[in-house]
Amino acid sequence: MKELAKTYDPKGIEDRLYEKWEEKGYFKPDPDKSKKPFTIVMPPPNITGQLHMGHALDNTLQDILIRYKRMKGYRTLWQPGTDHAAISTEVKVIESLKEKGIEKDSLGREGFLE
Amino acid sequence: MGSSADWSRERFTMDKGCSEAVLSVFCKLYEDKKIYKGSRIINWCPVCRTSISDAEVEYEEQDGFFWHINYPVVGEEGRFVEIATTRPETLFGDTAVAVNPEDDRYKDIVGKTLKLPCTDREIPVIADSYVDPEFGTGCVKITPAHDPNDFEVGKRHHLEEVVVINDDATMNENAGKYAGMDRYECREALLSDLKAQGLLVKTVPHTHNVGTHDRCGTTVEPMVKAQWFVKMDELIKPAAEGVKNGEVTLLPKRMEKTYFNWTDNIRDWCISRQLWWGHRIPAYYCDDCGEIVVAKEAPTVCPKCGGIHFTQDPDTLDTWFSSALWPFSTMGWPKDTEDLKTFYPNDVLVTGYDIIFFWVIRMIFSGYEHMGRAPFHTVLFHGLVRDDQGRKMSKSLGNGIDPLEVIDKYGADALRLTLVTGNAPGNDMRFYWEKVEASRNFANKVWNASRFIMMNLGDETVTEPDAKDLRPADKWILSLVNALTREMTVNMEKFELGVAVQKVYDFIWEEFCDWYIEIAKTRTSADAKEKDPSSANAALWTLKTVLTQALKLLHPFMPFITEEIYCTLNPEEPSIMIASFPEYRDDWNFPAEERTLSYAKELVKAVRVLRNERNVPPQKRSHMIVVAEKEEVRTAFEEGKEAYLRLAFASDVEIKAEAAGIPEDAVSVVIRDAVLYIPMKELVDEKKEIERLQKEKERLTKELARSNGMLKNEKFLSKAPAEKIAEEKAKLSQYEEMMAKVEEQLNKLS
Repeated sequence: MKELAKTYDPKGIEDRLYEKWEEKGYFKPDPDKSKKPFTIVMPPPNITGQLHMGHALDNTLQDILIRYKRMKGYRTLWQPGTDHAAISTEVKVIESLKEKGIEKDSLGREGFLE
Repeated sequence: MGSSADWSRERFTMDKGCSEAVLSVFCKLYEDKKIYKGSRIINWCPVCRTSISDAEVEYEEQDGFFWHINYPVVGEEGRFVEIATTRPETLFGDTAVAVNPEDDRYKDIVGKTLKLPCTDREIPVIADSYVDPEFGTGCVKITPAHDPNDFEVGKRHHLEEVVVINDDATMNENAGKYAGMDRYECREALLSDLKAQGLLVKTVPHTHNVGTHDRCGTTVEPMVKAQWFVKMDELIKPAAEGVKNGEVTLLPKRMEKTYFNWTDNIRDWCISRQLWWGHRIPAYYCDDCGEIVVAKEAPTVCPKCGGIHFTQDPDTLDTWFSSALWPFSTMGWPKDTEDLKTFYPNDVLVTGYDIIFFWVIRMIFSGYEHMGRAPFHTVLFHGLVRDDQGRKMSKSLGNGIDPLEVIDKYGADALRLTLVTGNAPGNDMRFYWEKVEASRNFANKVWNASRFIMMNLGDETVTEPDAKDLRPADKWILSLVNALTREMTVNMEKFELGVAVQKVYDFIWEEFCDWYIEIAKTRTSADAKEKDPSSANAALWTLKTVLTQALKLLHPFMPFITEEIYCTLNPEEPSIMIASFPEYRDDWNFPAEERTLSYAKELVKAVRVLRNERNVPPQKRSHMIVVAEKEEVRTAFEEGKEAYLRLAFASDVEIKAEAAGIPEDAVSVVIRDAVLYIPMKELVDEKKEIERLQKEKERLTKELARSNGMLKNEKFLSKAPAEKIAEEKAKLSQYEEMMAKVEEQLNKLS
């Protein structure tokens, strides 16, 4: 019989297993179209934002539901994505430009967006 | 985190598809006259220099003042109308003073003209039922350009809208000599001028709600501006109806109140932002005649004048305009795709209660409007994760905890378990490092128990035993894991994730690890395997089967550790995450064995207490007598023998209907439906125990003398701090208590 490592070491297993799951395509909806779908869209986090404890909770709850339904035989889709977060992104960019001594208006719309 | 999202489908609100959805929705709503451009009062953030929606305004109570100002009545020397205001600097934008038409005090001045102080303007007195005669002086200055209520009054009475504040919150040329001052600077200057002119009647402290921008905390300035709006009155109806009639369930149910409060008081949604980063509004103005053309692509010819030069509206859309379409824009809409047919409507939305207005409501009405159906059937709201003192985690407090740091120290499984344990929909929770440690300890327990089981399994082939070969303990644990499966499934379907995880946690830790594995040990040792191979096989099969099932039940909560153990235990299986979730089965329901084992457990617990009290060494085994009146109880103790004998340190057990013939010095404990007796001499070596107790008595005597001495010492009593004295008194009473016990036991023995 295969043996478990002597002590529980999350670092030793988590990345390896996550890679395996992704590689095997387990996160994609089951190709069997006769199965009933179960869908959750992930609230899109801000592109500039940092992962915080609220996201961790949000993600944990969604993943629990998705994994449960997947094991229950549903064709699960957990749809991820990000939000452009208009105002907070623009304010952040303006602040970082200011640090470099650049005013938003001097760049013009095209220059700023770039 | 172990998130099993389909990353190959990752989308962005500004990618091609989502932008296409935004354009389609904008054009469609404009065509249907549900989007319009209008001069309306909006919330303006002078720091971010953009309009913001109602949902982005946070109201906070602030201490301020009511300034009472006299406006002279024109043509009636010495007569004034007294108004009370919290914002005197907006005086320059006043275009009327209003009174309630029913207010007898002011009936005669309606229609008269007032001189607006510190200006050369005159304004009328009007009557409008919006004015509350009980509030302030009953006379209200009307500033249509800088107050949402006044704006409405102004519309009814065709009043001019005079803007007096610039985008950066300085005063404009309409403020006369105050132009260029900041709004608050102007307030001070104006008040001192009014005072000098004798027009400032009084200043009364007043607490009021002030709108601030939720992003930067700046006091929001209501301003009249040309903006784009979504007309909400029709759009909101199906969204409100859908929650009322149960097409959409909000969890917890109390969120409905918040929801309906918003849908009932809905105002048009200001969607234009004076920003560059975002979806630019697809409205084009003809350079020649000013005609507005709304279209997905820039028009080439003006439909009105034939002009060919256009300028696109410089504003962009509120960020929530695109996220409101997320449930279908991510599935390919506006194209009629296979994904859209399969995955729309979605099923569940999981999100924080803090974005119910921004996002949840807007997704729901967008779903009904563009897809004809609600975007999901259930919204599961969760609360905030607060720090260990219950404060919001924030940058300014520096009390935020980075989830990646937690994962680095304890692993993703421990973090997940911590976050879901005790979680109830809509409730805030507190984050404690101790809780993460406890979660990691649980992971260790699962790991070590699994290792132990695998070592016992060795390389032997375990076969499924016949039902008759299963022992009571085997049936009991199978029955428990079966009942657990049924209960957890009910909880999961009701989104009671915190309840479900607690059940599997308790089962694994207590019933499986602390009881079953301990019970099974006697049957799986090398010796036992040889003596009774069928019992060993049954125990090993049960260990493996129950562990496998428990891992499956735990997998959604702790995906990594369960996968690692499952695949090691069942090398032929590719992954636990695509295994089937266990189902309840009738043939694993063993009520009689559940009863038997509940008696066995109670007996073992009683014996443990009894032996602990007397410091009986574990290797000392004892004879036990169980007296139970009822026959079925005696049968249960008879059948449970194998399960409890070793754990109860018993050499043998005698099960009787009555207490006759039991040694007089036997210690007895009452347990459910039975009395347990253990002869004292079986428990203790009398001589040794007397010695031990006497030593203990000597020690306590000394301690008591010391403590009593201290507490009688005047010097100590007068000089020592109060808590020190209290501590000593507590010690004394503890020693006295211990002494009484020691003496009692000595009496019994000698």
